[in-house]
Amino acid sequence: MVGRLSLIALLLTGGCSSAKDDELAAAKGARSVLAEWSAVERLDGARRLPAAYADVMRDKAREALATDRKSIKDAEAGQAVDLVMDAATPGAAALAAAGTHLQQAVDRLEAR
Amino acid sequence: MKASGSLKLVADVRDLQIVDCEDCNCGIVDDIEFKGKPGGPLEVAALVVGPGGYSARLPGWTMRLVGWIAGRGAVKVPWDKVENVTSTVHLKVTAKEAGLARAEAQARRLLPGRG
Amino acid sequence: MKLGELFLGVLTAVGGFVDVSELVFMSQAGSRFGYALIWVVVLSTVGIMVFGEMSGRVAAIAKQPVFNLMRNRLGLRLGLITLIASFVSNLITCAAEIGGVALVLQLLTGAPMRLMALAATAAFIATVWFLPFKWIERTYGLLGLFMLVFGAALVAIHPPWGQIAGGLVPQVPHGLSTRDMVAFAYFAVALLSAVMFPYETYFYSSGGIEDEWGPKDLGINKLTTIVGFSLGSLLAIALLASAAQLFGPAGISPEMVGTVALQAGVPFGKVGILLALLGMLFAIGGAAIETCLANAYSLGQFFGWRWGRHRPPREAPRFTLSWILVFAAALVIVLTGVEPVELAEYAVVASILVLPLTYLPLLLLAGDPAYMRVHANGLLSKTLGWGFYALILVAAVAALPLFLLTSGGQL
Repeated sequence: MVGRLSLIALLLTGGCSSAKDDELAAAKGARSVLAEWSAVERLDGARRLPAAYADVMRDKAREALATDRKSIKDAEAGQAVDLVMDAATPGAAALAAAGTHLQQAVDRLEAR
Repeated sequence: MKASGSLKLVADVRDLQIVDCEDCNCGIVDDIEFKGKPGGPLEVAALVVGPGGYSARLPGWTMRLVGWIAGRGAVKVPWDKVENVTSTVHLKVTAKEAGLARAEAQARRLLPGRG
Repeated sequence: MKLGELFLGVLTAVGGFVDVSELVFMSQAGSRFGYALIWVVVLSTVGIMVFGEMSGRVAAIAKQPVFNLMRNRLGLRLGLITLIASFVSNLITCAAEIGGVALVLQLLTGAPMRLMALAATAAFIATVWFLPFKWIERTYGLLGLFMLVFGAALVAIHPPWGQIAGGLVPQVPHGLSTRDMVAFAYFAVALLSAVMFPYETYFYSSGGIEDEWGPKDLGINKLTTIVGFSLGSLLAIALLASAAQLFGPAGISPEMVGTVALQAGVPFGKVGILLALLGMLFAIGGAAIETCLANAYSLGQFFGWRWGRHRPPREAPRFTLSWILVFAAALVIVLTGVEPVELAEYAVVASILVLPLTYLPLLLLAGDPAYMRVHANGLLSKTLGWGFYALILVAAVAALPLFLLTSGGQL
């Protein structure tokens, strides 16, 4: 019974998830990852993080951004993510700036 | 209509935990076997324990899954081996004597260690 | 001696209250909606207290585990559906916890995550094989108390206590867009599910039988659930409030489990991060063991096997094989590369779908004088139990559509 209800719910709502929603979710995800990475760089710059932790967080942030990037079609936001991904060691300020571009993309997507 | 007699027994005892005389769990009452003739009184003959005992109570696909995991065997424990029935069914004999220790023994062989 | 036991029991409940799903969802909820969801955490905590106490009482009085009695009460078919559903939900949860532990170990050591997942699973199997039940519970529960650093971190950042207290009042924030309103509802359901995970009651009641509880232990049962879960809930609220204070304004809605540790890193630096990671390691590790054992308990009880960690592993061989295989299956899920955060999201949705099936037999059994004699549910337990059951039903119906409509809370 529960399984059947779940299936119906899945079919009913499955159609609601559009490419636009996927892009919005990815843009929001990338915006948060950039903010998380920026916080890590800021604290690491002040020598307040263990080295292993900071390194792993950077790697995880790159992985998460690479995944989100695939769904981001917005040119400006995509470029901001690419710039960060191409940089060997992006600083907290660069990451925060990229985050601003992502925020603008999120606003545009939400307005559509 | 209230269940009575043998129907009441089936409702009360079926799906209860079976515990042997050494207080070890040794299965669930999956079905009950009766004996008797048309027109005559029904008597409880045995407890049926094992996947083969509940195959008729499940949809086909579920039984295939259960059969794949646990097999389709069933063991009959004569009713006279039952000591009493509370929230569990207590046996007068050990699990081994009731024929209910085989699956545990097979599983034990897959584990490291002796004994 | 009794007082010491009680104290340890309460501490263990506190240290074991938070798991990877709570870490993720408390932080995301706080970051996104400030303090507005604190009341949901409190409400859910009362729910887990009610059902936790009930499951402990059933174990102490009926002396039979819930899954065992359930089959007799609800019949084979409904029992089997519950077994399969809770097994799948617990397995996903176990995988999320193992993934979380692997990630924390990676953050501590820098070693590859898959290697850490293998090492963690091996360590869990060794722990369950060699340690007695009480030691397993106590070791992970007490070492999970490193998580208290999150409480200290909240105090250190001087949050607006008035606003936090305001979050205790049931509310929906004003001025939310439709999209945000749906997300708010999703997070409310997710927090309810994360606090009331079904494995918790199965593990708790099976533990009661392992420890041979009787009527004399009913007081300890009540105190452990009320005091232990309340204090554990305060820890969860600290996570939510810290995230509201630190993450929300910075635009962080933690996408990575490791980010949660920053809550302690901001005020306390390296020491804070290390304590937070250690706390997370043991709290999530304890949950991994509990979810795995909950599955083995359910199987053993449903099919009437010998079960329990009070016996040497070879004396309950099918039970032992079950928990080893559950660990192995959860490890395989983690090794496929699914992110722990994603697994945690699936785990909370799967769990809320299972909760009505989980708690119905418990409610029926705890209220049945034939099993419980004078200890059957009184008016308060009955009212609270059925009230929460209605709430869980509504949440279960809404969970999947909300999950899909919000892309797992991301929209």
